[in-house]
Amino acid sequence: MTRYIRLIAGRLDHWIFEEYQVPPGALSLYRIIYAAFVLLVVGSPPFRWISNKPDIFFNPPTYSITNLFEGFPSVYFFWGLEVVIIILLVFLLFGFQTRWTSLLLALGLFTGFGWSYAYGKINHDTLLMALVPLVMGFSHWGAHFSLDQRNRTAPGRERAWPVALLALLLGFAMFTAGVPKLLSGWLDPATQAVQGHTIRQHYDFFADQFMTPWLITFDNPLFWEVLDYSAVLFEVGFLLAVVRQPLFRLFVALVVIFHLANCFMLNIDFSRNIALYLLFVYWPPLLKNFDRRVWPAIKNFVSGRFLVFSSVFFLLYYLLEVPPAFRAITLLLGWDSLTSGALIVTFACVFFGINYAKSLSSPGKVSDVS
Amino acid sequence: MYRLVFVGLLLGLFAQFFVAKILEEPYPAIMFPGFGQVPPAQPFPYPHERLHCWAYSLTDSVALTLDDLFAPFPETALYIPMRRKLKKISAIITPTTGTKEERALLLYLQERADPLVQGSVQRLDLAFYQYHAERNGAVRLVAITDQKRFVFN
Repeated sequence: MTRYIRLIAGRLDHWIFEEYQVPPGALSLYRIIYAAFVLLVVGSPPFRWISNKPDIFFNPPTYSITNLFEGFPSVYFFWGLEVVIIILLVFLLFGFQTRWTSLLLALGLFTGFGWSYAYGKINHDTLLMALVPLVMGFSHWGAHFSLDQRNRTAPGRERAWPVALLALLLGFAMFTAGVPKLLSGWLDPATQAVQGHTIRQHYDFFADQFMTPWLITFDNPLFWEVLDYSAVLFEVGFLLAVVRQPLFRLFVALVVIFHLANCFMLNIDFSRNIALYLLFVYWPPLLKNFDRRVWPAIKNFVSGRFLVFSSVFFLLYYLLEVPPAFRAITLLLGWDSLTSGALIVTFACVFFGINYAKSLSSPGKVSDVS
Repeated sequence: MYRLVFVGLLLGLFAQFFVAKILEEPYPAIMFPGFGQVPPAQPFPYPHERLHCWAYSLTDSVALTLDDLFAPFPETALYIPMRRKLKKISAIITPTTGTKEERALLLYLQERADPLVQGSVQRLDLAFYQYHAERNGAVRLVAITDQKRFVFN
């Protein structure tokens, strides 16, 4: 009996501390990618809009801390929150006081998103983005490529267990999306749920881009039933994939395709979730290229002076209401936000596909930097 | 200690998920054909009135004051069940009943009725409303109906 307990404990320890191990520097590179993705691609989340609707719409979820309040706070509260979040994102980009920056950033994001959910709907494309700094704050992701490293205040080497924890949370989140579907008849061949949602999206939410107008006239039960089964099995299976990193990486690559399909079929944009999915890529080739080509070119800019300059720059950018760089480019091209989101997810599909193929063709352990 | 945290967290996540599943009311399954678990229709006290299916976007550009909302409008009765996660709240709101905020909401909705949607549904036997906060700042009030009738009529 003791032997089996030791065996299980050993397996658990391996999963927590070794299964999701990455090469040294990978988590620090991810920190930079995450902060840059939020600042320049999807944009720091806006919260000012929350305060300018009547309080009759105040309807927080049962377990929300906003239940302690009678209505929405003033716009000044949200202005302040947005400013703080932008500054913290810049601090994160530079790796300045990384642990506290991460935790405060998570607090700010959860506060803002919590208030946005007080209209009665929890938007699932925002939660995962806020989880990243909360969990990764404990990963020592400021150990490399950071101001903390230059100031010799960086913590010890990067830790794998926060990555395992985020994998678990992501797997569980997908699982909780799949189980209600499983229990509410999605697998019943007499009805087609994805078809029903597509029709609802079109008529109730005016989804009329990409494939939606054609799909509402497409009435092949087998096609729709395959989608029903795929969605349920994929989401429920996500939690099982957590036990092995290579398998989980495959599921993450597939979920990006899943989001692309949702965007084209249901006009639902989940591009923000890419911020979390990027953590689970195959790191060695990215790290090698960054370490040898990019870091030497930018390391002199990682200084207190440029931190202040960047903070001021991004704050001005925000106060002048300039969209994030990627969104600004798509606006100039005349594309709306859904098309912009679809483009982000499309690029992510290509990137994850190439990255996954590289992971299959590279020999040795995941943690090796070739 | 890490083992304890991970195992405890996983068990805790499962526990809260299943407790929430047991406690929450069933959400209407959105299936094609038909919407199987939609709540039964309630008798409407104003049989001579036409009911409308409305879908709205309330965007940042809309100025909302109580003065705007109390401008004169034709009398129309509107049945708005407002669904909360664990508790149902129903309200029949007319220009003379309901709270001040609910009457304000009624008038606001009347002013912004989408003519295209209004023309699509002649009678609503069942109304189920929910409001969504959209990421881009729009709050949307949506009527989900018996889709068979709505789509194929």
